[in-house]
Amino acid sequence: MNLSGKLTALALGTAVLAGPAFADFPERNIENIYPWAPGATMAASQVIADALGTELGVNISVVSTPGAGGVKAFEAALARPADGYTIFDGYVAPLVLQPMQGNADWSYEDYTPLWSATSNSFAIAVRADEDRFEDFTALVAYMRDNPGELRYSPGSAGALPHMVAAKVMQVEDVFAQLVPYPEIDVAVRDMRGGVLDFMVTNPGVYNINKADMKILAVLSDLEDSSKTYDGAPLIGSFGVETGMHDLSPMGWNWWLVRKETPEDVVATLREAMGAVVNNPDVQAKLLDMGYVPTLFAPEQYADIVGPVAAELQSGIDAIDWEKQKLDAQ
Amino acid sequence: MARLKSHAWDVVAWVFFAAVPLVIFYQAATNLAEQGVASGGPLENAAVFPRIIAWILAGLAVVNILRILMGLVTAPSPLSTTPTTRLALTATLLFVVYLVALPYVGYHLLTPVLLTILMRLLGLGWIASIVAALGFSLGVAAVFEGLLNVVLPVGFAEIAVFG
Amino acid sequence: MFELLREGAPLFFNLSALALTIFGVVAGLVIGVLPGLGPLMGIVLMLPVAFHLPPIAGMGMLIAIYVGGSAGGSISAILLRIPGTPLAAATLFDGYPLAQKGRSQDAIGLSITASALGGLISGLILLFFSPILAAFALRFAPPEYAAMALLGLLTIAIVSEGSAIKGLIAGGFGLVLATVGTDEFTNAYRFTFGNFNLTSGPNLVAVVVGLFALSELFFQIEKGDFLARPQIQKLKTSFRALRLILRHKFNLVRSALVGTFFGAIPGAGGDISAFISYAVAKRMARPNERYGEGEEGGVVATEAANNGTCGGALIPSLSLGIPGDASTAVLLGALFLLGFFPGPELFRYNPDVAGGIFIAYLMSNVVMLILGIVLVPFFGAVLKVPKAWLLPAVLLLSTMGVYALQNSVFNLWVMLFFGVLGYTMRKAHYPLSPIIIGMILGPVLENNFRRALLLSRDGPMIFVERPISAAILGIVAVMLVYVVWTTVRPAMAEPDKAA
Repeated sequence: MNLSGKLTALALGTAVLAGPAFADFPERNIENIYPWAPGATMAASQVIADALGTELGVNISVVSTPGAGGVKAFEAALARPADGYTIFDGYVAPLVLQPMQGNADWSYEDYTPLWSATSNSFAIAVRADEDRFEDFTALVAYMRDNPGELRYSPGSAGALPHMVAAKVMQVEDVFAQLVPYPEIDVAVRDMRGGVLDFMVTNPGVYNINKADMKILAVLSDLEDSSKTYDGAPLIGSFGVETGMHDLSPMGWNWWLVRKETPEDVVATLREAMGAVVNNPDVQAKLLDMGYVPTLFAPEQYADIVGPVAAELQSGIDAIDWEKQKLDAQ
Repeated sequence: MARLKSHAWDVVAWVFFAAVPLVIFYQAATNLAEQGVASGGPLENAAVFPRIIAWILAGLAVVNILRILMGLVTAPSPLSTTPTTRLALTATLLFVVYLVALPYVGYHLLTPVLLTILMRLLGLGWIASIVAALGFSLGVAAVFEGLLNVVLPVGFAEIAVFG
Repeated sequence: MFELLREGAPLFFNLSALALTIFGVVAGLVIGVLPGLGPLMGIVLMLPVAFHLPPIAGMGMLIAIYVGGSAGGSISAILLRIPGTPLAAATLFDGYPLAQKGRSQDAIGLSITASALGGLISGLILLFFSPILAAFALRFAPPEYAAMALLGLLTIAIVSEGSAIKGLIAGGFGLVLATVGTDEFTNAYRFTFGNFNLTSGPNLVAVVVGLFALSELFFQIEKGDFLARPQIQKLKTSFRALRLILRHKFNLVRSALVGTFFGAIPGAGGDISAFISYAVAKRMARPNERYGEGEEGGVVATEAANNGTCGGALIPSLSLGIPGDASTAVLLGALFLLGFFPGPELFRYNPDVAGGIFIAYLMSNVVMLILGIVLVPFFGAVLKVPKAWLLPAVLLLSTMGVYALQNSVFNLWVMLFFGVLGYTMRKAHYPLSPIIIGMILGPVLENNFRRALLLSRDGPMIFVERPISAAILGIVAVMLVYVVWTTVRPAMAEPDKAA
């Protein structure tokens, strides 16, 4: 063997030794495949990832992989080995909603849950200086008197906030012109400018734009949700029964791994994540950002996620109802 | 014909850009129509905007081919080569092999090999090539794996040096 | 305007942001010095790094690279008669003759000083005008944004090098690329061909690196001379240029203003403004000044103008979200990905970020004024590194940079595809930048177009009923008439001239 050959062998040997392939899990960095574009919500996942990384003694990077309403991130993570080094940031849209709409061929039972992470509720907001409607009741009354005249944006069309808003309007039998704003910050701009009359917001966007918006109703039945909107009234306090309860009308995520992941790896991850989400410092950080830690243990996965699907179907139906109303206009 | 030769690259680029509107029209009529989003108002019709662009591109393509054929494209673009064009093609081929093998072999085994061959091809000696290749790949790995926590392709041997 | 600076100061004045600005200026200068790689490539190569940093530290680094990269090209132009970037092409006229007279030290010193001071002047204009323009744009709604996007794209397609037809084709292709993926209104998959990797469209950075970097690597290999070490004069650190430039203060200010003006027009890049500024300086020269034979004023005019362009290009980018050139288009993309929307909202909701970016731009020029001169001998040494070392290093950095964005090998294939396309387009004399601008402006154009129609109570009339939107569309119409006129007239006047 000449010198160069020796050098190559040496180099390869060093590289192999540097990566022990049979030590205890985890021995290298872990990836969390996050299904949306970067923003406030990703920062919430990053908080958990950082704490979990510290707990496990490695780094956990949150990889933003947006596309196809979250399905792309799941597909990307499914293409990776089931070794625990890839965590699914299991948002409700790719986990439950997209399969219901026929856009993905998995069900929530195809994944092994770690702990649930956070939830964030949606709320109906108007301009801060809006004087046509005092409260939610007045907004509904206005829509009833002027069918289809108001323009509103739930962010992206067909997504969860849209379902919940459509459901509320269906229950009240009123409707407004839908204008999708995939970039929800831009919807705030146009609402402030007078182009939109109301919108559906989330706590992250509300926190940044407090000065420009007034919350009429928080679309949730959990008291904690009201706190993320500085005590704004829950939708139930106006006597509206949407039929969507607990997690159903909210955005939430549950961290998952692939089903075939070895049991000891799953156990390690579960233990570490349990410690992280129950850590008061982490919880305080998340609450500050408007994200409520949900604290469901892995064993509760089926009980919590199962019922969500049925209640979401009524949201999908509400969007169809809204479409008929708008088309008939 | 002489003009097609003196403007060969113009013709190649034209073929590519002329095909784009055709693909759009075809997809809008098949795939998008099947998804039910090729008709209706601005809310439901995802095909309107691509179709508008496709019409404009189609018009521009017609104008452009006329300009080529009428000799109005002043700068010639013949299929000329240099003494090292073959080398550039070899390097490209190597890079293709690298991309194919990267997920299976992994960054830390494959990158030094690619760089060594490339530097040899560009005329550096064996020892210089190998040392530089190892230095570069470890340096880049140190930045991405070590500083930025990126998981570089680990490959079958599951190697991560700085992760 | 000083409020912006005050709000931004805490974000910028910390160790990491300052250190990254210094790093960015030096990295930018080095990339500018190396023939073939310009500020755009520098920004693109460091983009993945920026995503892992706090917003202002990350944006500050990218802007510093933009500033350094726009200035560095002159060093190779002066020493080797090879402009490191197209921006420095006009610096050849007097920079190289100056060096031939044995004054390369002065020529480089003047070029860096003029760049930094020109950049500072344009920075002050940026600071003054952006908030005003942003306040005006607060009145914009979807019809205006759609019209603005159309106008921005059209100017870039027309002003960029090559024929307007080719510019328009490239811009239109960029719009097409932007439609690939999940339609944001219907959630339908458009042009994904069943590949889930395409459901968010081709990655912008992968496209940029492919078009610009990979095609350039191929060109560089075709050029040969992998082991050549150019002979250059001995260089040392000297602050004499700071005194020399005082003789050219009017030229400096005038050139910086010319640069800022052309920078603020979407599409007119630093190369164009440098040539125009040079022509103006030549016309206004005193009889004893002999431009083209090594006149200091020639270097000052081009360098103050091409760095003034940076500040100018940031004006429409930050206040309207309409990029001034390809580099600012990528900077805008970075800002998007960091979670901030350029445009009036940035000034209203994130005045600290807007202010931090201004400070970063101003400080980059200050850092360049000092470090650019101190490190002159280092840049001379960089020029001596043979391509055999450089090309593989650039290839590796681009490849892993693109991979690291989403840990995706698919993005690398996208990069390769656009490398081939970029090579073909450059061979056929197509401009590349309109593709990037089209990709950035595509969603702005389409979403606001469809949204405006939804908001309208009487269909497309909404675009002409609103005065601002109507005015912008009027300008668009005039420009289209101009394009048709310039394309048709030569065809009728002198058919077959080139054959």
